Amino acid sequence: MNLTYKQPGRLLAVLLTGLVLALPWGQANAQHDIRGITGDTFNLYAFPFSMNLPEGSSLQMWGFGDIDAGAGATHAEGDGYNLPQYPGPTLVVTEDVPVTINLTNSGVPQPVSIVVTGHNVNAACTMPENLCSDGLLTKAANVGEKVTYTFTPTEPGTYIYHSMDGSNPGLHVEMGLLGVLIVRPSDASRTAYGNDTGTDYEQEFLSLLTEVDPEIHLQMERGHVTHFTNSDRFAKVWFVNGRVFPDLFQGNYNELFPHQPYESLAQAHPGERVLVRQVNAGQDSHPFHFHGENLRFIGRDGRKLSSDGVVADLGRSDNTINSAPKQAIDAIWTWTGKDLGWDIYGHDTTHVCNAGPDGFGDATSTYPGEYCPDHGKAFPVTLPGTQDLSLGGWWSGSPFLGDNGDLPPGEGGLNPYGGYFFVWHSHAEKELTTFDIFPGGSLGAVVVLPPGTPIE
Amino acid sequence: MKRSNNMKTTLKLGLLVSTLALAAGPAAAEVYNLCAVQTTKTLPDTSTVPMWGYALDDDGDLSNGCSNPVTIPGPRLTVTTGTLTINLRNDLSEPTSIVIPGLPMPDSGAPGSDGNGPTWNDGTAGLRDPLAVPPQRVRSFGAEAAPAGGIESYSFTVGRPGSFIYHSGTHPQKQVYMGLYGAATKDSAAGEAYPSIGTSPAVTYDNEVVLFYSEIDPDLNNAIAGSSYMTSIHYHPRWFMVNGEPYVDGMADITTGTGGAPLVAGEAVLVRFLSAAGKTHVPVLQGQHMTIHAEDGLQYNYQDGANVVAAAPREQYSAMLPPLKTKDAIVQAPAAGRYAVYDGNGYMTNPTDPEDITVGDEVGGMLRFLAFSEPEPDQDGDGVPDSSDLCPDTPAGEPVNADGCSASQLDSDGDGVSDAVDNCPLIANPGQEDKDGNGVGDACEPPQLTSFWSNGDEVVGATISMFVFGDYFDMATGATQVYVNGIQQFLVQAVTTEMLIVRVTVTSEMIGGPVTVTTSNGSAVSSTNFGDTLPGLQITGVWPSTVTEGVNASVFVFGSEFDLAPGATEVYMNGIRQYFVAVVSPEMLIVRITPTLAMTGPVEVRTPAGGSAFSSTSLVVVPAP
Repeated sequence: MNLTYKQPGRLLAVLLTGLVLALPWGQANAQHDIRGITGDTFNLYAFPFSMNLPEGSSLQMWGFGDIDAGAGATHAEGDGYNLPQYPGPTLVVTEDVPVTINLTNSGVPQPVSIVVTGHNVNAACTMPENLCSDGLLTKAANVGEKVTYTFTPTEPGTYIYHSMDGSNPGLHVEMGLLGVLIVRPSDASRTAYGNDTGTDYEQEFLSLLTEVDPEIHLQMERGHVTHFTNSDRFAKVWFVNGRVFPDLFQGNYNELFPHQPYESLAQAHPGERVLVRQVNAGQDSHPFHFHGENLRFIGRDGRKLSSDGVVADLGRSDNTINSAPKQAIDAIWTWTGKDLGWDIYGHDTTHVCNAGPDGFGDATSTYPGEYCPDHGKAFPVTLPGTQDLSLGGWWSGSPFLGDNGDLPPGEGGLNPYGGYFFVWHSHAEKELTTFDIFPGGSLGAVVVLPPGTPIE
Repeated sequence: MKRSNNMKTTLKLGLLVSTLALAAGPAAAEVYNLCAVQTTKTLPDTSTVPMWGYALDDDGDLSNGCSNPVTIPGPRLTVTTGTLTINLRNDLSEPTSIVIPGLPMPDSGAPGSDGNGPTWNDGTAGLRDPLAVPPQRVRSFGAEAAPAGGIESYSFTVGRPGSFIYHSGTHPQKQVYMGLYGAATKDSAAGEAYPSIGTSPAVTYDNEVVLFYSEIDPDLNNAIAGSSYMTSIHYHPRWFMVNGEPYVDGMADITTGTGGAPLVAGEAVLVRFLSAAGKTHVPVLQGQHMTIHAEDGLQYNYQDGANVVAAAPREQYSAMLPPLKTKDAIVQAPAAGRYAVYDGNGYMTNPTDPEDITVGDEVGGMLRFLAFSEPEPDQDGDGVPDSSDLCPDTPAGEPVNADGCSASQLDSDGDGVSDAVDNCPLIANPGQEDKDGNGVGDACEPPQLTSFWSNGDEVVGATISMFVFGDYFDMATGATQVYVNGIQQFLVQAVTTEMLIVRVTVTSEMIGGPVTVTTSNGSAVSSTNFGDTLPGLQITGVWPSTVTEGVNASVFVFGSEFDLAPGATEVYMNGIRQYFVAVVSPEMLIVRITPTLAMTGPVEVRTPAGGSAFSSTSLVVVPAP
């Protein structure tokens, strides 16, 4: 039963969207977890590298890399990845399991350290032959030195690890020595904070915001550590998960972006709960705005918003997160199509909707999760002809979920599943540019895919 | 006996409150006299920048200015009542005023709409004149203190606890950046930042740290002071300060709170975040979370309809501070050590000239370290540190006194029974006798005096033995004192705990007063008086009880203490005096009467010493047949 294509031959540019090749419905309807490395011991190194921006320039960066080359990767696609990266590897750990991070400075010309927000980290120079230094906040590693950091995460949530040292303590974050720490609940539940906390989810995505002032990177590249004054810092490039639009849609571990392994295209089926780990590891605030549906705040800085300490029930519904630097916010976002007023599967004249107790189609329906009160309602307008439209790459040619329509040659192609793209972006609109070029910057998105589309 | 394990905390709070008061100047003063003064600040790179700041008046007289030094941020104002009055003297060369965001606009005393502003740039105040040419623009939110010594008063209603910022309400885009800001705080009670709301307990604290964030743009300040200022649009701060100073390499950690009490791990430290900076900053606490209870003096809570259900404090490691924001957080360090409070926005350097390639930014700006010391060891966890604990190993949960001893650990009277269960803890009674079972040991019972009896007449000059009957007399030699009408008797022998014998040589001072027995547990007084050995004037019987009208009769009256002296005893029958009275003895008299019907009624006798007594029965006079 071929649900996902109206035109079986239209498989345009699958690779560009980073989506997996279509499989018939009935195959594993998998769920997305954040990419990273996992375990209880991480061996990281710090090293400079150059990173490409979409308009052709490159930036000198300092980044953390995984010495173990993805031996602990959460997903097979991360196997073998060992380059210094922006952001640093996302570390996925488990509540109450002690964590060790061994950090070696392989070439960053400043003492590099690691602090983990919300955690009391012990630091030690454990290798007798490798000295380390007393830094500003903790022990630090000059070139050739190594530090061992240990801590035990006791609360599930989202946190930041970053370097902070030297004569300009904010410089290391500016240069890219930052990453995300995710602590999963010890009961192995698919929840943000544990069973019965009201934080269950189907899809998990990271939304990490950073920004840079390229002038600083230029001076670092020339070795001029002091040729700027930090109070003159003025960001001009904005990132989500270390990439800039449109690179951020183009798949994890994409060889086109060797030092930027993470994409930021969220994917969900209608009705699924998406856990968004919204982190700001930069130095400016960003009002991050979610199209498509409101989100529900469930926690800040790794602590659930709770009236009784058990259930995350004090989070309000909102469409914008005022993301402050070094704050981490957890939120749940769900798109259902409820009350749209027209049948989103209008292309399928034979589909049935058997309402469950909540009004949405149950498992016996053609499209589970369809909002049955809107079943059969016609699309309310007549679409103009294609010749009267300006077409974007993500227009499938049809307004219906899972449908493709006729498009002139060369148009579209970035939406083979006929999904609904909703932009998730900074609402400070200048941050949607890269060097004054729109679109750019921190313009990410979520795509709602028809039921049955595999999401991995 | 009460024992309290709050002694340590209470002492500390007392210390805290008193030292807060000292730091503020006049103890808990609700009236503050301030001067707005021009000053010059020297920055760590030895450059100077002009600033305007507040100084606290020193002598209660603003007419001669304030000779205390200017501080930026300004002096901290502590409020304990519902009104804060600031008397402001303006030593600047332009008008100034004071506002406190979050509180209602102040009252500057003058009646009418002009009295409290706003004040326009033409100097007029009150309602705006829409026809004025050139158009009026606001210069001050309220009433102004005129330049060069003008004085204005501002009374603020402080209707809730919180941390607030007082700052200039005149051209704030200039004057606030020049340094005219400070903290004003109010607690709900001593050592309590916010009260209990709904089902949540009050927010109490053991120590306090104030972190006041601000910035300096030297170019702007120089333009303002040099009168070339046009606009604040190009505000570009270069210096980033906490409590008025940028961090410099080697700056000492913060090891004590307001008033000098050391920061100790495990204690609740109230950290008041305030910001008069022009940019948003995000203080990030390294290594632990803090609990933010309120912002702008408004306690986080959640409600069901209009009812507050409970507080909703936020546990975060970051506390975002937009300009003029305040946030109150409790920091409870999990272990001793240094915890950085750093700026998530990265403003942690002191500036240098980027054109000069020989120098570079140094670590500075908005960075501080809170250093918590080990809590004093308290091995038994009774709240009294081991160095002062006289009773180690106090069982868990038992309240202790200031020495760290619980009742179960003390045996104040050394009788082998601990104070917690001793029915008489201060007097040794190893047997715990309590014959009346009232929980108070016999050794602690105050004496009781039931009666006394003398073996002879209690008359002046007599030497008698007086037996005193009662209970809980102390048999130890000299432990029971006996007084007769206040005169102490010294020949006392306690035969048992229930009987004493006292050898009394009666003097006239002893007559007519009660007997008192005193032990270390108390005193008891007799209900009758010494020397009153006779029962007193009374009629116990009248015979015959019935007589016939007109028939002469002799009536016998029996009783006691009739007076034998001639004419001293008077007899009345139903109030009618009878004159033929013969007192045979103190116990009997005969009255010769001619009955009349009006004489039916009680018989009364009167004597000079005994007063009056009535018969309990009536004499009845029957009519003649």
